[in-house]
Order: sequence, then structure tokens, then C-alpha cells
Amino acid sequence: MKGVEVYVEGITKKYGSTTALDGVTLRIPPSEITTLLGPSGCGKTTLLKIIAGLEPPTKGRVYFDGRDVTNLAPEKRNIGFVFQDLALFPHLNVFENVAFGLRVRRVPEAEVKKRVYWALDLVGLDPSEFARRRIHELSGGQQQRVAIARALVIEPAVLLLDEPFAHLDYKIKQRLLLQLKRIQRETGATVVYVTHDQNEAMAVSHKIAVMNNGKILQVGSPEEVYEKPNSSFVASFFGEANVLPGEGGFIVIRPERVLINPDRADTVYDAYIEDVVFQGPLLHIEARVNGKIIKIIKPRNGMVVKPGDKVRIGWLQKDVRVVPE
Amino acid sequence: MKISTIILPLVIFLALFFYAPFIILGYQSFQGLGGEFTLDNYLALVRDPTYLHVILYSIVIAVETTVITLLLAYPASYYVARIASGQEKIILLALLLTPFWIDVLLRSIAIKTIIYTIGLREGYTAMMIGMVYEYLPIMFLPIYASMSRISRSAIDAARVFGANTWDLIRRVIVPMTLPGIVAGSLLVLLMSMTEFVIPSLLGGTQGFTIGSLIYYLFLSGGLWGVGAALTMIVTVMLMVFAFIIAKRTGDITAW
Repeated sequence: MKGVEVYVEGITKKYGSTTALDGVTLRIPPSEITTLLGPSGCGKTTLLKIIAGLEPPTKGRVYFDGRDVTNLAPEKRNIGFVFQDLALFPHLNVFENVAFGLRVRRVPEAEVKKRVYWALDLVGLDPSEFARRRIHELSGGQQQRVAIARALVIEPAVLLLDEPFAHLDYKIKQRLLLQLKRIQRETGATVVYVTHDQNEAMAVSHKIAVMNNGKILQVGSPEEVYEKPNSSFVASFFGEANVLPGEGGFIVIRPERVLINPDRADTVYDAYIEDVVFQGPLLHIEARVNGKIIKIIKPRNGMVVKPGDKVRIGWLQKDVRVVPE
Repeated sequence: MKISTIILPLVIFLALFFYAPFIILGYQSFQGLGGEFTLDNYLALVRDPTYLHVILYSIVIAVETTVITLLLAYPASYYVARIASGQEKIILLALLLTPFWIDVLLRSIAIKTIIYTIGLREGYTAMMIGMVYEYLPIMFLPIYASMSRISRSAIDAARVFGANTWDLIRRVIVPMTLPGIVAGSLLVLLMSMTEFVIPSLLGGTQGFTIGSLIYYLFLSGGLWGVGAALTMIVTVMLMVFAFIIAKRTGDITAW
């Protein structure tokens, strides 16, 4: 399957007097995973629903491979959607849930069976064991996989996922994220992934669009956005960051770039260690400088600081990022 | 089975005013005129085709009431549960349910006046208008409840995966509201089968149903034994259905 390129142009969505999306333009490349990352209420789910056709935009256009689909009904867009609450059909078993999109496309029975088994295999559910199960007999992670299989079985032009793993345990979530990446590689689908969780976004994305207040603030690869945030909001929302007032706006310094008792640094302050939190291989350290807390992250080996220690902290100019706001 | 103390008052009440009389009635249905054991009362019901005719006629009325109320209540419940919002929903619900709170006898008399005003007289049509009026809310409420439980995203999902309106109704909305359809239909079917007030007041010569027959056997005909036998048959039939409903209700909560 070959994914389509999705292009949304100048999308504005208003509900009465509230503006959910404010002139959003975004190019979503084919056959990649693009994440819409932002806090709740930033408009990311609304944008996903507009791409799916479940909500009409107040203004703006949606294109699939250059074709204007703004007024196309959702059932004609060939979309796979994994809903936040999964929205599996409780009256159908696993097989019929996955088969739904094929049934309404009047696909012949033999083909339905083949495709449903393919999709169940793809998400790691053994068809012979799970096909006849009822939805309420499955665990949360298994239901999640059924929802993904149901979205993939129609070989969608675009696969849209709305916080699909939000309610799952950390380990199951990690496993499903890896599985999602593998499925995307194997199928070549265009995937749009919505989340408020920066770790999920880092783990899964080729490209991240950071959103806030109905606007896209920055688009780029996870590394680009992490290394070169264009605003203090992006810096603190995507990864940990120290944001300090500085020349021409704010300066951003990542906690792992802060040096303790450095031999050589461009900027140095005297500091007190306020707190040290053990985080497995890493230590999360809080140092107080002139009444302000600086977050520091260091590997645990060889690092001996404890609360109350008086230290010098500093950083190199090349690790500092200046943002206007 | 242990009866919990919190349900005990209700059990005692029903035992005293329903189940005890029911057992006495069962006993009487096997008694002849001289007090001896007999099956004659039941055999009389089978031998005289008039009884069977009245039972079948009541079933026809009940089925017809069920079908008409279902056809009226289903789209209405869809609209109120899924399309109407805020104030419109509250107003519609209040309007639909208001007649429900008024006593059936008062309503029937009111309908009689209306029917006379539009030039109809007592008869089958008048009776059916009364029946539909009476049972519409009973059909509406369980369907409305199951309609409200369908999540917005289940409908969105059906749409996104390619369902047109017909697929959506056939494959998602109807199956997901099936518990409500079954509950509403059984309730209306069973309650309307033994309806007495409306057929008597509005049915005219067409209003002789099971209810009228039992009334006649006990109070006018003096045939207590046959009346008891007929009551037994109808009540046992209703009990069987009651168990089906209870089972279905259990299934619904299992979702």
C-alpha cells in the first residue's frame, strides 16, 4: 500500500465564539509517521477529525495527493481511524469488528476472511484464538490491537490515531508503539498520530508538529525540534528545558547540557544543590541559582552530589538556544 | 436462595397481594361447581371456540399496538437521543412523557371526546388510537435509553470505515439498540394484551378482549372456575415473558 500526501491549508475551525484551529497549514508527507503534539485543547484532535471528514472546517481546504477532499464525505475518503475511546462495536465479535470496513465495501466473503486474518496477524493477535472472541472479553491492550487491525484492514490511504495508547500501562504502550512503527514500515501507510505525550511523540515520529492554542508552532524531525525549539513553549513542552530571561527574549538550555563544576564553560554561576532524584541510570538534580531552580540531568556513574552541596554550574554558548518568546 | 432484608418488604407485599391470590386462583381453576377436582374449566376454554377467538383477537390488537408504537417511537428516540441537544432535548422529552403521568381512565375519556369531535365513534380505530397513545411512552423509554448509550465515536467509526446511512442503520444503530427494541416490544406486547380500560371505553362492539372476557366471567357470568383457568393461562404466559425480559436485561448490563 502506498500512502497519500495530506495537505491542510489555512484550516480554521470555530465552535460558536471559540476558535479551535486558527489558520493551520501543514504538509504531511506520504508513508511517514507525523505526530500532532500538544496539550489538551490545543486543537490536535479537531485537526485529525477534519482530515477524516468527521468535522467540516470553518475555513480552509484539505488535499489528499493534491486532490481537494474538503467536501468529501468521510466514508468516501478511505481512512483508517483509531479513536481515543477505541469505539469498537460491542455487538460484534473481533472478526466482525475488523471486517466492518470490508463488509460495507461489499468485499466477497473469501477475501474478507483473508484480509481480516492478515490484519490480525499484523497486530500480533492470533486469528484462530481471537477471531470469535467478544470485545468485552479482551484486555485493554488487545482491544487496542483490534482497533488498529480494523483501521488497517481496508488498506487506508491515511491512518489516523487519536491518543490510541493513552490509557495503557507503560510497558504495553512501549510494545505497541514499536509495533505501530513496524506496521507503518511494512504497509507504507501515511500515519498521523495525535498525542499529548512527548515520550510517545519522540518514540514514534518521523516528523512532529507541536501545537498550542489552535496553532502549529513548529514542525520538524524529533531531533530538530528538540535541538532547535523556536519558542519557550516548544522547548518546555517537548523535553525538559530551563528557560531563562536573556538577551532578545529567552535562553533555553537543556538539563543534560548543564555542567557541574566545569573545567571550561562560557557561563558560570554559583549554586546550591536543592534536590537529587534517583531515576535509574540518570540523576535528576535541582540546583538553586539566585532563587531560581535550574534542572540538571546527569548519568549516575561518578556523579557525587547531594542536597546542600555548594557547586558551580555552567554551560557552553553552543548549547544555548535563544528564542524570542 | 437467601432473601436479603432490603428486598423483604417488597417480597411480603407482592406475596400478600399478588402471589397468594394467584395460588388461590390456581386452586380454584381446578375446582368444579361442587368443589371437586376437575380439568373441566381448562377443557371448557379449549372446547368453546369463542374463548380462543377472544384470546387471538387480543393478541392481534397487542401485536398491532407493538408494531405501530415501535415504528413511531424508534425514529423519534433516534432524534431525541442523538440529534436534539440542550433545551430542545429537554422540551421534547417532557412533551413525549407528559401523557404518561396522567391516569389511563382520564386519558381514555379525553380521547373519547376528541374522537367524537373529529367525527369518529367507538370502534377498532378509536381503540387503536387509544392503545398507541397509552403505550407509546413505554416503547419509547427503553429504546431511548439504548439509543443514548451508543457513543458518538461508534457512529463516527462506522462512517470513517465506509458505512453509508443505510449501513450505519443496519449494521450499527439497530443492532446496538436491539436490547431496547426487545425490552420495549415485550413490555408493550404483554401489557397491551390484557389491557381492559381502553378497549372497554373506546372499542365499542370491537372492544371485547381478554380483559373484558375475564371481567365478564367473574362478575357477570358467574363462571369463576373458567375465569380462574383463563387468568392462570394468561398469567403463566406473562411470567414466561417476564423471565425472558429479566434475562435480556441481565444481558444488556453485561455489555
